[in-house]
Amino acid sequence: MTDSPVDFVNLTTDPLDLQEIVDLVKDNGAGAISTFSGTTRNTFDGKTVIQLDYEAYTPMAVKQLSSLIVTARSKWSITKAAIYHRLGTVPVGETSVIVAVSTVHREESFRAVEFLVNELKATVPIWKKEMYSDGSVWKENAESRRCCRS
Amino acid sequence: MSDDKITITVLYFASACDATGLSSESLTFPLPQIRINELEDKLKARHEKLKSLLDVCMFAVNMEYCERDYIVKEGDEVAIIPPVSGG
Repeated sequence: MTDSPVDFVNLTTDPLDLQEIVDLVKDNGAGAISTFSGTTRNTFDGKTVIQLDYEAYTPMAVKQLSSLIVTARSKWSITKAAIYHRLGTVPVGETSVIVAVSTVHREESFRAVEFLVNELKATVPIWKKEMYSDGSVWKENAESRRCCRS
Repeated sequence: MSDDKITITVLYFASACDATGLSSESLTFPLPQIRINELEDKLKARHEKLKSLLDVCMFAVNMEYCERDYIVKEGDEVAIIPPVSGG
């Protein structure tokens, strides 16, 4: 079925279901499905995180995630790919992001998932705010692309 | 269409939204166009709390990242992108 969608990008306030996303990328021609799940941690620097909030520049984030999949397709032979990111309040211990890729052989799916997660964390306009008992802070990924002005 | 002024939309996210108290604003400049680094200076003058933050932010125009020498034109949507923390 060549006309069924092969890439799935979604930013949602609903809880993420790994099996549902695995099913999206499942394909009889693909012998491998690799997935990455990112979950929200309960501590940062010894402080207890009560809750996390994600926000996004949604249209740009969707556009960028779609274009990351296009780039990944130019590097590896991907059958289907899905990137789901949660927005809004995410309780500690829940899944905030899932990346799933199906390929004919396993090696390519490992590489593609790693690439997509790394690029997402560096360039896609999504932000996480951690709430502690004594305040909150907008987090910054170490790999985030920044202005190079000194 | 006037040559001598432009109106653009500026979007603020995350820490930039907190710093300005705004999620977006419409700004008009008496110029035919404005470069990102000139806009950056104007935004710093306009929002005291953006001053140090803007130095580490990226800019995106119409949903594409751009450098500081990019030229913004009438009707463009300019987003201030603080360091991201998705994942």
